[in-house]
Amino acid sequence: MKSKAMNRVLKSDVSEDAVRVFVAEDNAADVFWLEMVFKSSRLPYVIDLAADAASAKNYLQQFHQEPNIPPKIIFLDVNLPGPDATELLDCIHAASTVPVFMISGTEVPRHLRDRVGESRCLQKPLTNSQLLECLNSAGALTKFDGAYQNVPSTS
Amino acid sequence: MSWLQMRTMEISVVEDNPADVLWLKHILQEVGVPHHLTIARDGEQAVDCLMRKGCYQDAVAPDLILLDMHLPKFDGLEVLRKVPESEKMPICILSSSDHEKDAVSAHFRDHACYLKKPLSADEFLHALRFVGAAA
Repeated sequence: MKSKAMNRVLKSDVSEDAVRVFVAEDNAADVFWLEMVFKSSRLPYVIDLAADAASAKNYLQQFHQEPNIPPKIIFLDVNLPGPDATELLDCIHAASTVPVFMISGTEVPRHLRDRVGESRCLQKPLTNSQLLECLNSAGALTKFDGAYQNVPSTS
Repeated sequence: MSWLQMRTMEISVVEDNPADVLWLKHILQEVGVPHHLTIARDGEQAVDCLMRKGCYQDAVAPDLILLDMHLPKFDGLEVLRKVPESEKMPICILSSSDHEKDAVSAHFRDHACYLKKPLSADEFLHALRFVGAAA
């Protein structure tokens, strides 16, 4: 049995005013790491998780519709099983302007870097500082001014 | 009394990705194995770790070595080639792809334990059985 991530919602203990993010990631280790990084930041969070491209596409086709609550930011793993990342980007850009960050264990392919911009392509695993930078650039931290923790290293 | 309660296992992990190390700790906790982890983060450290030299000279002989194939400085296969008699060590290979499988199998004379990342609890137990630590 492989340790694959599952489609689910991950939440902090306090989820009132939580930062909502969408993560499309099939690797359970990377999901576990990302949640640890969120916990270390002390931000209240809700992570909508899709473990394959088909589930991600399904989410992305509906997240902007009532009564769904759209995420502040989207993290897309480049190598998800199923439809290509370009198809997922098409779904997002057709419906919203939510910032998208491409994440990969290796270099993000050129066509995706061109599509989302170099600064929005990150190598896994994300550090606490990178996560906060992403959230900050998306304007997701304004209501938490100073009430989160920038931990230099989570290793 | 099961083997899990008998003694602390010495596990060496050669892995440069902190997410995979954190995940391994999570799996070890899930399985409930009392353990002590020694971590090497690149090919050079891996050679020292397996040969128990340099900063690893006081390390206890491991019951299990988990060796990632993709490492900075030089890769896992190179590590196996640099360490004398590595084919006799309790090594399980970790990788997220099948590319090196043939070369690794040849090194271990077709008696290799090959695990795909991220490790599951079942696969970890399989690794223990393979190296005989759970016998």
